[in-house]
Amino acid sequence: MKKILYILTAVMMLPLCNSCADLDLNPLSEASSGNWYSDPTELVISLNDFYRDYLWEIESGYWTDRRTDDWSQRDYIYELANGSAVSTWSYNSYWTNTYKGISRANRIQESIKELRGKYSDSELNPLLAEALFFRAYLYSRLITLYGDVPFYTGYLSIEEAFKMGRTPKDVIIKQIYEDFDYAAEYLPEENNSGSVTRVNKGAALALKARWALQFGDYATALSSSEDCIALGKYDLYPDYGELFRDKKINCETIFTIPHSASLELTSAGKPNVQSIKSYTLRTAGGTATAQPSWELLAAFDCIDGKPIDESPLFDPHDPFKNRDPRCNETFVAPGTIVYGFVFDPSPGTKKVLNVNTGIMVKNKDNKVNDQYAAYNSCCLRKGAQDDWVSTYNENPTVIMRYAEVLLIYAEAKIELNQIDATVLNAINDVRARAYGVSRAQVSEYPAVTGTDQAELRRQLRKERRVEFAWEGRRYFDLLRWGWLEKAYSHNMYGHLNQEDIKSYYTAGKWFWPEVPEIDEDGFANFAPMFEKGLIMQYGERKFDTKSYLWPIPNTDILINKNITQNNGY
Amino acid sequence: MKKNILLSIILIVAIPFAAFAQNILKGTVKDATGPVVGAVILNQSNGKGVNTDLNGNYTIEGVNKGDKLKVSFLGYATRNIDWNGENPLTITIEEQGVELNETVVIGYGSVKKKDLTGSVGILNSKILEQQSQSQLSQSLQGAIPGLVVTRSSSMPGASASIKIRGVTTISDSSPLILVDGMAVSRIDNVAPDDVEQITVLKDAASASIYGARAASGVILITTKSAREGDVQIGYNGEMSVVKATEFADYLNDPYNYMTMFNEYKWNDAGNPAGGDYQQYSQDYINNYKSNNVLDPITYPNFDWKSNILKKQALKHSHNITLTYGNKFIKSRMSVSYDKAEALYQGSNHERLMARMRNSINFAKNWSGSVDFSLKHAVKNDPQTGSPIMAANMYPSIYAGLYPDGRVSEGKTGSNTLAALLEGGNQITGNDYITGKASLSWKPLKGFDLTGSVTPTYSFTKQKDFTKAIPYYDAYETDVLLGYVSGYTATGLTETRSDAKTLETQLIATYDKSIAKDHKINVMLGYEDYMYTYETMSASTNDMELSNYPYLDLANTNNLGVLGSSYQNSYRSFFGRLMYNYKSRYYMQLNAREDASSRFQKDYRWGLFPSTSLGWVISNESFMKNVTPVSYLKLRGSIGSLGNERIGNYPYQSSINFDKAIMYDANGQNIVSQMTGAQINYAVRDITWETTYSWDLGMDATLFDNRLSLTADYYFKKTKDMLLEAEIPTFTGFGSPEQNIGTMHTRGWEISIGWKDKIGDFTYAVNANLSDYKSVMGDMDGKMVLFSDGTIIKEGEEYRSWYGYKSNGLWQTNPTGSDAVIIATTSAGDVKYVDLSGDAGTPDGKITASYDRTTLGSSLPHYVFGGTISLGWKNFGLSVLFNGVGKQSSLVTQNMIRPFVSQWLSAPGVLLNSNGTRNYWSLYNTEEQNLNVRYPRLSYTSAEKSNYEVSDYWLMNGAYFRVKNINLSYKVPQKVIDRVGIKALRIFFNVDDAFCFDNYLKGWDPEVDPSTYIAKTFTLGVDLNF
Repeated sequence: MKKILYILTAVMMLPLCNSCADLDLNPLSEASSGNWYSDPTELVISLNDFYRDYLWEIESGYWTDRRTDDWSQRDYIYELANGSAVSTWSYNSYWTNTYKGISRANRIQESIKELRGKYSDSELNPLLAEALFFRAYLYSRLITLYGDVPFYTGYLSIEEAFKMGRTPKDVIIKQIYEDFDYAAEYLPEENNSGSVTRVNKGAALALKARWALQFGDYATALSSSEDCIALGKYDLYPDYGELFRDKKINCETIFTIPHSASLELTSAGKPNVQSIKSYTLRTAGGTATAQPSWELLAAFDCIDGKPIDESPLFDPHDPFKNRDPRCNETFVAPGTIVYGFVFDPSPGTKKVLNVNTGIMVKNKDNKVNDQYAAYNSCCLRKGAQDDWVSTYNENPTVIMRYAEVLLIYAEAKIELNQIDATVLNAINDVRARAYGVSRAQVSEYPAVTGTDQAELRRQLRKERRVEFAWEGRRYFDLLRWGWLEKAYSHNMYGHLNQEDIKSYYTAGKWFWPEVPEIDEDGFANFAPMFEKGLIMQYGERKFDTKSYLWPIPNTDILINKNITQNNGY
Repeated sequence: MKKNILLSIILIVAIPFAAFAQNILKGTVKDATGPVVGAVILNQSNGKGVNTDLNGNYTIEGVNKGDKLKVSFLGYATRNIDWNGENPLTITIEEQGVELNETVVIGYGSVKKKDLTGSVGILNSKILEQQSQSQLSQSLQGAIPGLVVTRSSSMPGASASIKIRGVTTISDSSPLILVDGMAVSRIDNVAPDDVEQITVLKDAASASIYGARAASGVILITTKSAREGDVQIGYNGEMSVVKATEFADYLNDPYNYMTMFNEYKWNDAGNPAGGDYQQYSQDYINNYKSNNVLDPITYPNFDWKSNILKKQALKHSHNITLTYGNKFIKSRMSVSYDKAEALYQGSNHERLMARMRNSINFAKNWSGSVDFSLKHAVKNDPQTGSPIMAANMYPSIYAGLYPDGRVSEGKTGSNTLAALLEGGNQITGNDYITGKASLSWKPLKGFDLTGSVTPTYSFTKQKDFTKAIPYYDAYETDVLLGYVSGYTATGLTETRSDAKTLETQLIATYDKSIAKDHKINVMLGYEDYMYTYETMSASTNDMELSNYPYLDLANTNNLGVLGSSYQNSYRSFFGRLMYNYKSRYYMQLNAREDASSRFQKDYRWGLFPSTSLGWVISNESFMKNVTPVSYLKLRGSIGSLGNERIGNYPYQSSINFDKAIMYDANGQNIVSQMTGAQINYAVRDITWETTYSWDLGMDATLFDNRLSLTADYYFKKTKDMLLEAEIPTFTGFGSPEQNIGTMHTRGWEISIGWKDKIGDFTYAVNANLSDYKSVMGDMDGKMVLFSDGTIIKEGEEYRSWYGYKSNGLWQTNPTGSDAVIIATTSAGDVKYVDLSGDAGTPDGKITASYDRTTLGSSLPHYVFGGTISLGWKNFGLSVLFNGVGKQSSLVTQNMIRPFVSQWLSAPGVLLNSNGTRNYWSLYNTEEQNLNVRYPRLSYTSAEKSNYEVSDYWLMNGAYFRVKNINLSYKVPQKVIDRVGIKALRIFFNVDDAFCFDNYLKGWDPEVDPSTYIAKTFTLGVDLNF
């Protein structure tokens, strides 16, 4: 009996002892914060996080350009451009993601404090510099878009966060400069000692200059851009058009994030890069949903340096003729080849050539053959790769290129009224490159010559618009110059439809029936043509005073009384 | 022989009495199996009554010939006898409506229903057998009061969500499901045919023996098992036709589509004069039909619905059971197979399940059991997911196919039909295996020691294959025009996940009666549990060949791999004491102590005690003469439950790994780099969420058990709720789970049944109704906002709608001083009420921060269900119904918003049945505009204003549904005896026959827009050899 009892107990207890579920479990496929950030290798892996897409959404995919007058997209107007942004919009994630970056930079900074003494300063300082560079950038973007924001540089507990209010911009700007300065001091000029290219000294200087300019701090913008130029490291890429098709780092690159459809995959294994079909020819299989706007087309001067409503060289029936070369590098001039087809939106062109097969095919880029052909009969040229129709946009997200440093320098000096030859040189360097000549060849391009502050300011602003079209600069420029109201008072226009476009064409009104008037700030006015029934109005832009700042995400207002909403949201 | 001896003894004993006093009647009450103890014999003529003793004998005095005797006992049909002087008199009573006597499985044991003290819902196999749902979860709708089953689809393999007494916790309110004592992750892992009984433990006292796992209630499923003497083979086969119910109308015909589209575009262009034909010219619209006849390629009129959807789909299921039982071995094995098709091509669900239960008495006092079950399910789906929305909403002016059947462009590359036909598929296979081995030792009478080990394994295998779909020119068939969007390249993702659990138990029970009147049952147990999950996937894109869905053909330039793993575990001690005195007074004490790996060492253990009391009033002597009452019990319980169903490592903050794309050192090539970041806060002191609850209930049967009644009222308070409350978004971390806030739930349930027999005609009616309301208590100012438009907020009902209050439509353009939500607000847009502002008073603006408010409950209220069954001779007819008495439902945008994605058709409800506009339009008269229901056609207003969550879009989601009609015929024994069949039943079913509601026209109140709820007609046979 006893024996049986022992056996029984043994049998029963055996599985128990074997399994006795362990309760002290740790994450299996992740590290835990207790043991991470413990050496420079882990810090580098943590710094890599700043190169991920989630922090650069605003800079990618023409995000800000869509919200400007440079954009034309069938009948669609984006929320900021017609005052329909609200505090529950989906872009609240930009706020959240920016703060993710900031808190991660803070975390790295805190960790480096712990590692001092254990590792040499020469090893730690560049790492800290990199973290601070990103923190400075993120705070700069944040205060530009939201005004005063919650501000912290260390660890923030949940309890503290519930009590936190918005810190005045000026306080934050001080920290931004400090961080950029630290970055500029400790980041090497070539930061690629490891296996990859990371942000460097030039980037810290250039971006400090950009944001200082955005804050209206011309003196800092000037000194910082001077420092960047003085590095002598950067130069303008010789071919303006090729610059945007080159996917590699070149002499003009200061900071850029690459893209690769084969390396950037969603968890489902699909490429996680921008699909670009919306910008390509319908004849080639694209959808031609969005194009550079007519207002942008009107903004390029003629080769005589005069605006189109003043230049005798301008022909509204062939607006691509005699224009600043950047015009035809931004727009596809009708008759040129793109995506393997001849682009011709003219209602008279029923068939176009497929260059690869030599066969004439149905022209789906004119509004007679295809109702969804580009509403304004334009097509983007800048950066267009011939494989965009079938694949993805693998062009890098260029955060900063050297031409901008030159124009920041010029703008700062103009605003400080320190106008001298260096200002003109900076602008002319940029303009001459567009013409494919050197600055000295003044007969080959319309060089800027005057020294009047107001006139130079106008020239510079025009120069920025055409040089950086669809590169994510226009929206910030409009904010900085206080031009949102001007930009949003212009509606979105395009060509007439179907039957109407046929008679318009046969009456000889193609491309534009008349020359649009350009005001002194470079805004074209198409309203008269529309009022005469010659063109269509596809979308209505609207300015709302609230639009200069974005809405603070709604939940932050609901759960924390110390956070006030921006006016109008 | 034995019985004869017994009878002789009784006779001998009785004779002397018979000789002296003719008015003393003696005898025995028995049923089919033997004497019945405790039956009541009442002489209705003089009101005297007695009970039978332990041997079933009775002695009743003062009986005269011709007196009316009434013999009754719980669970038996009452017999009325006119005494003809026979003495002794043996009375045989028949079991009837065994409900109260049936054994109910409760946690780690079983009791008779009449001895229950907790609130327990019971469902027998009968109600399941008459339905033709292959998913058990869907069959439970309306079956048990307090069990709220919601489903959104009747597509193959679709599950339903089950909640017991609503929500008690926010993280995961799905109940713990145990099949023969083994926890399963999904109730649908059990074949409905195998189910013998389902017990739902609703109150804390019943459920708390499962401690932490029981936070949201417990469902115990007992599968059928063999009895001694069984030798049986059974077959059940069903064949069903699934018919599409009417889908909602969309205005996808060329005329309506193009004219409304023009208006839509014109509105967004700011209504420029002369812009009426913004997109399609007048001639184009007018000539479209005639052009279509001449040139259907340029002017298509394509019927997407009939090309995508089938008129009907088939479903069939088979189940074979083998049952065998003798004194030593009892076995039951079953194998079921079913396959169901969806109403569109490429989607089906196939399932094979096997279950085996064996028990052996292999030595004196020793017994053992080995149970085993297996499920193999494969679900096939097209790469499109559900094409229902496309079938309904694609405008007919875009063609999915050329007239010759080749794939065409669709709407600028959007072509769900092409994707359905040629876009590849997704195959998800799941294998689920459970085993349970147990060993019991009964060294003493009433003492039982059982140890068991239960491993389960679940393997999921998914293959996601997307094929490139090129489309070519209509005439020049070799000219490639492009690829269907989303199908530009061939890609494959293979995923393999596996989960395993190991549960170990040791349970001791002791059952003892002291001096007949005191019954005691003690149970002590230990349990531990370990769960491990692991997954990996590999994917490739841009494959060269599109016919080989295997990774050996992967394009090595486009490779992605993922993997992750986690674990959790718990350990528990528990005990229960059950006591009853004379089957009148009942008491039960439970306690369980759990430790969970989810909490840090110091906060890990939680103790959850509970108690319940019962009083069977009908067994009191003073109730003897209250004849209408057959049985009456009052019960009450109080107890607590814990919950820990949250992320696996909440007290540690983990580092998430990802990758970044960077340039190499020379800036010439692109490389992928590993990244790491802390993504959440660690909440060190996170601990158990506790729900305290009490329940008062009553069970009664009246009028000879013909009327039965059960009612419960309960109150629950959930404390230290584990909430992912919003934290300031600028912390840079996601909202962590924290112990925040309390919730108070009050609810009641009632179920009532009546059954009777008139000659050959039997009938029964059952109905149940329940409701609850959960209101949030103190939340420390915190809240949780959900993307479906609901909120959890102090003082408000759990998941109330949260949005704007509306006040009709703007009839004129708002002026500068009017409060609007966006600058472009115009006449015809939804007008919102300016409730408040920055300073706490209306500020002349409509903002999400200050003008949203709670708009009432989003949850179903007054949930009801019931059955009506009729029987006549061999025929049976039953009707199951269920419904929701009150629900405020938010219609989704796809149901009401025109031109979703800026090109899909407008919903049919936008036009009245006579063709006039039911939306605000500049083309309407002022008076017409005053009476329209829907806002103007606009994109800008739609995006940020008109379709925001507001009371404008809350609709009445109450409904009454005839869920199942079942007609059956039992083939007469005489007929089947000849062919050696024991029983044969043939039946015909209609599932989801009718639904009555006031919801949006064309929509089922339960359905999700991308799926359907269809009528199912089934013919089936039940055969037993």
